Amino acid sequence: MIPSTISRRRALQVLGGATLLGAAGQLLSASRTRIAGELAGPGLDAFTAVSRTLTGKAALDPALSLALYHALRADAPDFDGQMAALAATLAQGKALAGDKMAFSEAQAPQQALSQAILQGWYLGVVGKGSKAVSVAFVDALANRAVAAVLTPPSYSYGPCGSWQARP
Amino acid sequence: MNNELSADVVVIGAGICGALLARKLAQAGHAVLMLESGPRVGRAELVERYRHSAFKSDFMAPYPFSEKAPHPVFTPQPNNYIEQAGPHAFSAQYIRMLGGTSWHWAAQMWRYLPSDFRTASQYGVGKDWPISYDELEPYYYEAELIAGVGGSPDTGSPRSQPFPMERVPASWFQQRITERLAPQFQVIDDSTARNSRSFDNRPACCGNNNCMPVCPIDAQYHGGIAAASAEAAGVRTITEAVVYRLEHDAKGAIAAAHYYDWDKVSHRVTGKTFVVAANAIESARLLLLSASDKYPNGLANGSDSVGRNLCDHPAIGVTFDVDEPVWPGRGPVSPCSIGQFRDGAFRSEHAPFRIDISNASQVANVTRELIGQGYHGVKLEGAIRDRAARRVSIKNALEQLPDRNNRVTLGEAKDALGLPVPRIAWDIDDYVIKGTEQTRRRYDEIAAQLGATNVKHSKPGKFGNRQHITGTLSMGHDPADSVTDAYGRAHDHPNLYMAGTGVMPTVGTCNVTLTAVALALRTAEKIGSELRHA
Amino acid sequence: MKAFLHRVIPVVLGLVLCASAGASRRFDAATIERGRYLATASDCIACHTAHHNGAPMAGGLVMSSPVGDIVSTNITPSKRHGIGDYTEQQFADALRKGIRADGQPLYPAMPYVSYAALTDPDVHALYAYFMEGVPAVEKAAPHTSLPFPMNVRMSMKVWNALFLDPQPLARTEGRSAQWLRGRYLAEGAAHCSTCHTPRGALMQEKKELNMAGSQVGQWYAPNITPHPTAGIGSWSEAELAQYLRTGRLEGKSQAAGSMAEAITYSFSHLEQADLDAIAHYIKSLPPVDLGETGTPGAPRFGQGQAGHALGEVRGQGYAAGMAGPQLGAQVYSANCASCHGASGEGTRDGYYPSLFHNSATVGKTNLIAAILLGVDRKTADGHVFMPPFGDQPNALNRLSDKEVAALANYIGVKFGGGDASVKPEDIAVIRQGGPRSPLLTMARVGMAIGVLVLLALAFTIVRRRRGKVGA
Repeated sequence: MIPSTISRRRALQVLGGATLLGAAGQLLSASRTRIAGELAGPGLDAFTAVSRTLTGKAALDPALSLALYHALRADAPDFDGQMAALAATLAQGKALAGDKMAFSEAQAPQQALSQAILQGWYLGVVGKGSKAVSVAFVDALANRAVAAVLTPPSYSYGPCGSWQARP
Repeated sequence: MNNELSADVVVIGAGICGALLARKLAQAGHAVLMLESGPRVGRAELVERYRHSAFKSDFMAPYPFSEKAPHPVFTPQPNNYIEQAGPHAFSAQYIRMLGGTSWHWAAQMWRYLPSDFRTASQYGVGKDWPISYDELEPYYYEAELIAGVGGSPDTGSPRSQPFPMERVPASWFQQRITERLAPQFQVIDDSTARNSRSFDNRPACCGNNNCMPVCPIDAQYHGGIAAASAEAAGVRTITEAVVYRLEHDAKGAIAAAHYYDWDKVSHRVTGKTFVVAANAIESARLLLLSASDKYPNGLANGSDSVGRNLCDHPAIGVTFDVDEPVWPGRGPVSPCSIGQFRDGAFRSEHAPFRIDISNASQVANVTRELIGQGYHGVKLEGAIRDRAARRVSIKNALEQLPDRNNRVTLGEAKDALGLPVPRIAWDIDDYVIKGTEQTRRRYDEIAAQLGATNVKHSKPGKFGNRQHITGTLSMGHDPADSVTDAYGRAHDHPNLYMAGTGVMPTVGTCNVTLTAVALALRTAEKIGSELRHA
Repeated sequence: MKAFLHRVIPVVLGLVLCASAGASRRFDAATIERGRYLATASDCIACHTAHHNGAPMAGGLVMSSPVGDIVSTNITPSKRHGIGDYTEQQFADALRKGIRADGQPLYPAMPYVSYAALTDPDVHALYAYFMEGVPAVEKAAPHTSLPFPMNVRMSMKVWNALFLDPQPLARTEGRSAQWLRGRYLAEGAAHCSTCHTPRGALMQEKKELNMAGSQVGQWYAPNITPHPTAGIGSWSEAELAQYLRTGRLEGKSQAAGSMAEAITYSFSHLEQADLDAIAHYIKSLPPVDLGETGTPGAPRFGQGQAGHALGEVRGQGYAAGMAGPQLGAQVYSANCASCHGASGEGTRDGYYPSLFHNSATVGKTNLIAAILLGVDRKTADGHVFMPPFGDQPNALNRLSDKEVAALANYIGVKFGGGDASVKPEDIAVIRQGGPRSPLLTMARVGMAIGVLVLLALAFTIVRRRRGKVGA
């Protein structure tokens, strides 16, 4: 059991990282090993680097990064090319200077791509309409962000009435 | 053609009303056969489909679509199963599956108010029911016992017995909202069929916050549980059986039901009594599909009322951010509401309404919003926490008055079995529009009292559907303007009964399922006594 | 409800019996009350009451044993259907020698081997309670009929001669009063060894392996010797007493099956001093390791860690997950994660326990039994309820043998330090009531061989006689 001296949020963060790594290592099925093999390389690294910049997080789950990269590439064939262009734009430093993104009119597609990447990390969903797919739920960053107070919908919070207490 | 099946009572539709009616008759010793057009699907699969879904705010997404028993689908693309004649689209959501639509609800089981049964005499609007609150009261209690209903007793609906289930404790969110809105607004616990202790061999709620679309642990009652209990009581159940025609004899008594299995092989089922309980839209469709030479307008339709007087609770909503963290998302999804605008002299002028305060997690909504606004990086995460803690979502249920022009008919297109799809014509009247003006005023007052910012009302002129679908099989004393009598028995066919929300002549001021179930239990009693005396 | 009936009705009816003119009371209220407490400690009600609205002590509970089904008897003071006509000596003989009033032996499903330790004053108090503290129920319980040759009760006399010790508690020197009280309760009234001690080929308790763990029907009663890794050596006496009172020790273990029942009806009602004494005694037993469970060297309460395999199944859809190699992970997510958490971490405060650091997921049997049968345990702390996933009417998700096996392997490996060795056949065995003992077959084979030997002997004798005559 998680000792009460460690805050629940911290414990879940540690567990989350460890478990994803553990899951990726322990139970990598044959198909995922193949995918990981195919996808490992500069494309994945560029995506992970751009993701770090957009999310502002130094450490991102490698298994989730792999899954999102795979799904985003399936959704947009020229994804690696788009990644390179986006990385270059972000390196100029203007787009993410403020709290909200500030891409120019001409860069509107890059803004849309940035938002799609953030949607993937935070909501675990890639793509729109019939091509939308969910690659993560409990590990989506939005759920992790509120994990100290909420459990993701469909998972139990606690015994009946435990939600009376002030969070 | 297969001709072997027969039973005392043939129930068409295995939703919460059909199943509980079937169960009651089986417990009384009658042979009951229940035909369900859709498949049998397990809860584990539904929960996982929810978790796999890319459209988690679409409550229909976990429920498999069946080509042979189609229902409306909205994501990823609308399937336009129902033809919309307008002017307003009637975006019906229902599930054709064993257990029916109440698989995805928040277990709200309210009693009507006594005045809901007599708005014509009392307020000069709408219709009077052929029965009174007092006549239905014992059946309300019977239904509450089955489902384990609890809540605040201050609803305006008099009770002869206390609630059978202790109410689910209020979350911090509900407590704060209640405190801050008092005394001008009284927030009460909803009447819900939700376990606050183990009951009926099902666990107590443990706050999965997923009531809609599906409770992962069956802590709330729903049609799936009703269907299982019907089978346990001896009701023979056949799924994937799409009834497409009711056959009658020369005198107008129903002789048989014809159904297609999913290989489109036709089967004929005979019985003494037939009950149509296939939801308010599909039941009307079946009666219209059963038109014959003797009944060219469809069965039970001497009044030309089948499918007419379609009502729902049109809804408008508001979201805003409260000035303190209250953290919705802990505990059940629909725990509390404001009921003080359900009744009063104003009902002669404008629609009454019930205001629902949602406790659903707002995390996904605020995240989408913030990403759409361009937030990124560390600020995005902080903003998610901040807004998810303070976002309140409120919607209402406005009483729409019955109007013959709001109706279900047969459409042009055909489904995969070659049967005409439903077609709906629907409009919103002035009564409701004036009610929305009142609602918006109250919403603004509520927001002000909570120190709210970022107040966003739903678009003027646009209404949501609450899926409380009534009127298409209205009960009444007069065969000239009603389909069924006070027991749900078709005026035109003595051995044909109807159960479900369709028989309700008005949509009232609250969610309709408990009333429909109470009526179904009363209908079952009537059927039983008719069979015994036959 | 049953606990309520159990406590209040005997007292109320006792008072009524007092007041009624015709009844003559042989026993005073204090003795009856002491008998009631001892009956609670002995947990008579758990076996002698049918589940689902059986009348207390009226029998009718069908217990699956490795040699067949045994039905408990009506032990209310009904003269026609119960023990109303028993003298105190007959009552004592049934309790301590396993002999019924008609002289026939009882089957040792009735733990008379343990109750043989009960003192005369305690037997007297129990007799008082059963004669005048329990309402008579005028309904016969069904008879037990085991398959031949187990239904020949007289064979039990041989078994008793071999395995029934009339003085099961050896004399000792220098032990505290608390230890002696604890031993008296644990080995006597509470009959812990009936479940927790492994049995030999003739189904006798192996006293040299006392409390080292044994299969009981569908569940496994674990090793409760103080062995540091195989047993409960890591528990303090206070923790053990708390477990007996509440059925739960956070981060370690929780009671289900028959132990949950024992806690609900017996242990949770005992005085704290008695629970402390039992704990003190149990912790003094010789530590034994049968090599049964988990990773060697690690206690069964410290195995496993949080984790999930959702990356394997997300993005493919439910049907693909159920058909693919990650069946266990998909079944876990669809059926268990809603309460036990996506990573097996349970809920805050362990109301729904975590599945790691949980002895229930170490070893196969109790994990499988918990999945198939659920947990239902009522104490003063509340009602703990896990729905079953077998064939029960309230099991809204019925899992097949294949699904349960995949699930048990997933949970065992991920959270219980185990290997993935559960097979669908193992599930079928638990589902039908637990492993069958070879004793029945052995007895029948033994008898068949005996008959053949006799026939061969007779044949030889007849031939010799003929030979002699002929010669």
